[in-house]
Amino acid sequence: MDLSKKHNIHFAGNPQASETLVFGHGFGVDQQSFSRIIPAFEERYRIVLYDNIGGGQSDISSYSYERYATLEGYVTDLMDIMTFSQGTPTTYIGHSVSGMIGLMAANRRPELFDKLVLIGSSPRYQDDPATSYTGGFDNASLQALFEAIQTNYEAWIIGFSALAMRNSDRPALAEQFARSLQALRPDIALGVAKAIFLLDQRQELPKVSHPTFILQTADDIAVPAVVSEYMERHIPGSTRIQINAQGHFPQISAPDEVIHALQSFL
Amino acid sequence: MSKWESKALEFINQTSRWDKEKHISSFLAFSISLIKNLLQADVVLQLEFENEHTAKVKNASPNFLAGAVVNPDPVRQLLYRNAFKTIYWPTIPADNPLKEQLRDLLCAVVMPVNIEPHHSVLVLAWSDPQEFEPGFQDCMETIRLRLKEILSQTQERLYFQGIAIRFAAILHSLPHAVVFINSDGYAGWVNQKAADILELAGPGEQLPAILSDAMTHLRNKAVNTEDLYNTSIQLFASPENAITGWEWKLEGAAPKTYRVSCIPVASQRINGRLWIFEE
Repeated sequence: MDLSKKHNIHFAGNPQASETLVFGHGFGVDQQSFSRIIPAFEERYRIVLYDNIGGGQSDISSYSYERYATLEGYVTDLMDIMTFSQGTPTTYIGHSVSGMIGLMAANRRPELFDKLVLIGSSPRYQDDPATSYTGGFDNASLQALFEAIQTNYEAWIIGFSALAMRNSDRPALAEQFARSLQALRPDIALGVAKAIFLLDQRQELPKVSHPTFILQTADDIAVPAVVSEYMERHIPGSTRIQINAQGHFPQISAPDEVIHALQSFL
Repeated sequence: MSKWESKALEFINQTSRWDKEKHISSFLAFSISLIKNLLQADVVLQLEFENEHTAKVKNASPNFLAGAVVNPDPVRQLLYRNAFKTIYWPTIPADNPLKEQLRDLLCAVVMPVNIEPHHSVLVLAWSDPQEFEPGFQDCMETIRLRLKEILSQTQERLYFQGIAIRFAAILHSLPHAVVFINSDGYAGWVNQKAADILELAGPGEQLPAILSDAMTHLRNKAVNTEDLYNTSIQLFASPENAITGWEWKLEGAAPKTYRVSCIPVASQRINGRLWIFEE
């Protein structure tokens, strides 16, 4: 299948611009999750948006449990997308798991990337007492999470969407995320959740050779601040910023904060 | 004997001496690692085609290459263009479907090993120039044939181990005691519940003679021994006879009645009797 249809790739912004921004979305959302920050970059950048397989308007028939059992399938997809959209120096902006996917793809094919932006990303979600690493989740809480997705996906969505989005004064944001999760096939949601929450890609961090910007929010249930501090310590020459925003989706809940932070880096 | 004949023979000898007590997946890993050592390659990996969307790097050395997902179609097209013969690249072409795996290397061999249901490709690569002379290519062909056997054995063993694990889990979870006795006289099987009732050490494979003794011992504890004896004679009069709802009334400190079924199992590969005890 045509790569553009497979990943629902959209080109936006200024096609004559000398730089490109590629946006990669996280679990449970799609390229629309960047819609509130895109306008700020449309004039100066060529913009590429896509949906990960299994999410948004991607080709669902391309989903394979084997291919996407780990991040490796997504990394190969991103290398294909980056090759497809090559033209001008490219900054990859990855939210959540897509931050790690971008980082891994940049380590494999460094010539396709110029800069990396990681929004709410984590190299490992599970605590690792043996190495004194805090990821935010112990094994029991992860098993409970998978069981909840498996046994009652609808109920899990209600609880998880509110916890991940925070901003309880604006319940419409969590409802929007819940609707996005409801659009996911539950078996795919479980497969993706396992690929994400069981990953351990800490070994990839020291290999990064691109300027990297780490964006952290307050009260992120998926990625506590200690994780982004760990990333800053282990990614050579990286810069970390904590923005004035709550929850795991600052590009939705606090777009102006994200725009200002991105502009300062770009 | 030429250098390459000696290496091919060494591969056959060492893989034939492999310790069968070890897990089968380590056989393939050992064999691929041996190829790397014998041919002094810098990189070796197996690329397995798992489905139409997925080809995965396995048994790779260096290890960091393992686990990567490669788009299968471009690799399949490469093999097809070369009539599924081993491909020798004295210089790795710039446009190839294994760019990430062959980065910074000079020459490579891409060897298809076709095994159903999952075809594989063995990739060897070097950073120094190599001469893929006829003797080397003959050596690779010998290795390919042996590797095909090893892959076939590995896939079959893993497939059957998977089936055994699945069926054992299902049968051990049944609330009934289940005993299967193969009519060949060499194989029998009980689940945990049956092992408890028959006072066996544990579930799983048991010799039919042991099962027969244990069932006789259980039957002798019954208060309706005469009824059991007469019904047994009728039941075993023909291998096709079956019975359900047969009551075994046991005495003792905790008297119990089992409703017993005995069903013949007859298929192309297996013949025997399945016993089911319901409390």
